[in-house]
Amino acid sequence: MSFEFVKPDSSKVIFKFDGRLDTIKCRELDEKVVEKAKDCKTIVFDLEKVSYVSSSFLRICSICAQLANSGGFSFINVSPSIRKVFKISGIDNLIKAEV
Amino acid sequence: MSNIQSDSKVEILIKKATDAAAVFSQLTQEHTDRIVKAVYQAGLKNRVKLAKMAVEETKIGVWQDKVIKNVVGSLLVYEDIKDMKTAGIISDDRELGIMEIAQPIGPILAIIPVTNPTSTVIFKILIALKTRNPVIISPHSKAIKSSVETARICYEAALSEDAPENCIQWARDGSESAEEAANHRAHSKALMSHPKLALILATGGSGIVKAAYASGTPAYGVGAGNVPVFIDKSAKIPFAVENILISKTFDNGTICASEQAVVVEKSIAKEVIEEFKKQKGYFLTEDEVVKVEKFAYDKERDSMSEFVVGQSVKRIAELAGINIPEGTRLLIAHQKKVGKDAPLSSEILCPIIAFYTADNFDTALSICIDLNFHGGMGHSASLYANDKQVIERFAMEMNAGRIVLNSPSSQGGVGGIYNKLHTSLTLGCGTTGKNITTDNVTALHLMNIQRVASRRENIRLFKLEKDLFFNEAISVSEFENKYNENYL
Repeated sequence: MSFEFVKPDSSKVIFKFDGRLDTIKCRELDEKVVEKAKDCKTIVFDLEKVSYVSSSFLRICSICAQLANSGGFSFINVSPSIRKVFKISGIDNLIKAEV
Repeated sequence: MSNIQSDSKVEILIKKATDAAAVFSQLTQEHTDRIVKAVYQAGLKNRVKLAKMAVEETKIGVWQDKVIKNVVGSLLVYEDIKDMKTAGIISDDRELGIMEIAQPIGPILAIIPVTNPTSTVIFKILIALKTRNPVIISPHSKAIKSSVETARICYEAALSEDAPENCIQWARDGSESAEEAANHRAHSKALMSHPKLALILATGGSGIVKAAYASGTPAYGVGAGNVPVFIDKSAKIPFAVENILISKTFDNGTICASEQAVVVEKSIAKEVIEEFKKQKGYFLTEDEVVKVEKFAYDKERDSMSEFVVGQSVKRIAELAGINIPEGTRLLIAHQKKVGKDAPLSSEILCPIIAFYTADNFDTALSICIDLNFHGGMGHSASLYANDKQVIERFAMEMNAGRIVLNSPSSQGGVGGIYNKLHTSLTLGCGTTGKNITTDNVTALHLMNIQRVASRRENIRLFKLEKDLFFNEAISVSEFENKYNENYL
């Protein structure tokens, strides 16, 4: 498993991802993340321990942003190199990324 | 396809490419090199299949020669770029205090010509991936199937080494409706001018190259060449003729660096003509020149006829209605003029070559200059000589990115086969060819280089007294003397 999650309440979920989120790993966690996030208004991705994100992970981000109606989706603990990935892809326009 | 559909198709392509660019930015040199290696090996492995597909689809060229082009586009390009540093810190000169960092440039649109579809796809993909840039292949309408199959094979290989998804895409795959196909021009225009597209690598006819430059997106465009080949008195004539034939007949003359006109001085003309005849060159009679001209040159388009491009000598003779000896390798047309009045003095990508006899060296050089400036500015020129002065004089007078010496110009211009030029299927033509470079375009042209400048004070400047700067009575020579004091 490349992520853990906590649900402080029924409308909020915080995912803590770990390591390289490459295509194969994202294929494993794609449905699981969406399943746990689908009824939540607030979705938070904690990327403190993430060293690499793939296109598939960007897609998961877009889905979660839609699930949470954009406003309720955010990142925390984003490393500078991954922040740059969000900037280049334009995904930071959809969501709120916090250091 | 409505404009809205076309726009949305462009947006999807660009969005995917932008995401791929973002992911690419994280890749290390080692990971990048693994991807490039896998792609080159896939290209090399499929060289025969792809060559046959290209000839079958386009009806242009010779499949055996296209196999060689695929080897050049895969193996030789890989050999040329494999050790280049293209990710992260690429140099650090502590004495100068300059550290260089390579950054990717972003999504690249690769326009593919009908003459060399599969080899150009492999080449452009390799140099794009080596520099961590996603690439969108835009195939020629007559080479969609072979171009897309090449791109698909390369993409599969790239993914096997965990390359970013959509790092290779294609703008069309031939499954478009008639309406969509008709709208392709508008679609291409929207793609070329998209603000998130970083660069266009345009190889093809002058129309598409001009469109690329007009798009507002940075572009490396390579259009027409019109390569003169001068055989000097100091050259070994049988060797020169043999090499010209190797070059001009390769893939039925489809390479834009191929020779278009032979120029010789009167004193050796007879010997050169005899040698061409000996090696199966056929000199057209005046009547035959007229027939070939009519067929080979499209006066309305003011360009070579599309019906001769990459066709065999036999086919051209049949279509032009002339009889030629069995086994003829090249059609040769005596010419006196250069320009619109002499259609065969223009670029014609098939086994037809013009032949000029000059009174002396200066006249020969003048003819070469005229040919060079008649539609081939900045591209390539070719010379056979063993006299250094002749080599220098010829090279100084030509307006060409590459002057290929004593070797077949087609293969010589491409690099890596007969010389140490960078192996490339996109040959820069300099500013006169409306290019920003005369280089053989390669991975080195697809990076943004950042320079970290450490403090290294200019002591000569710092030691100057302040008053010197503001005192208008100080002459320029006095200022220079002060600046250079103790440093001459």
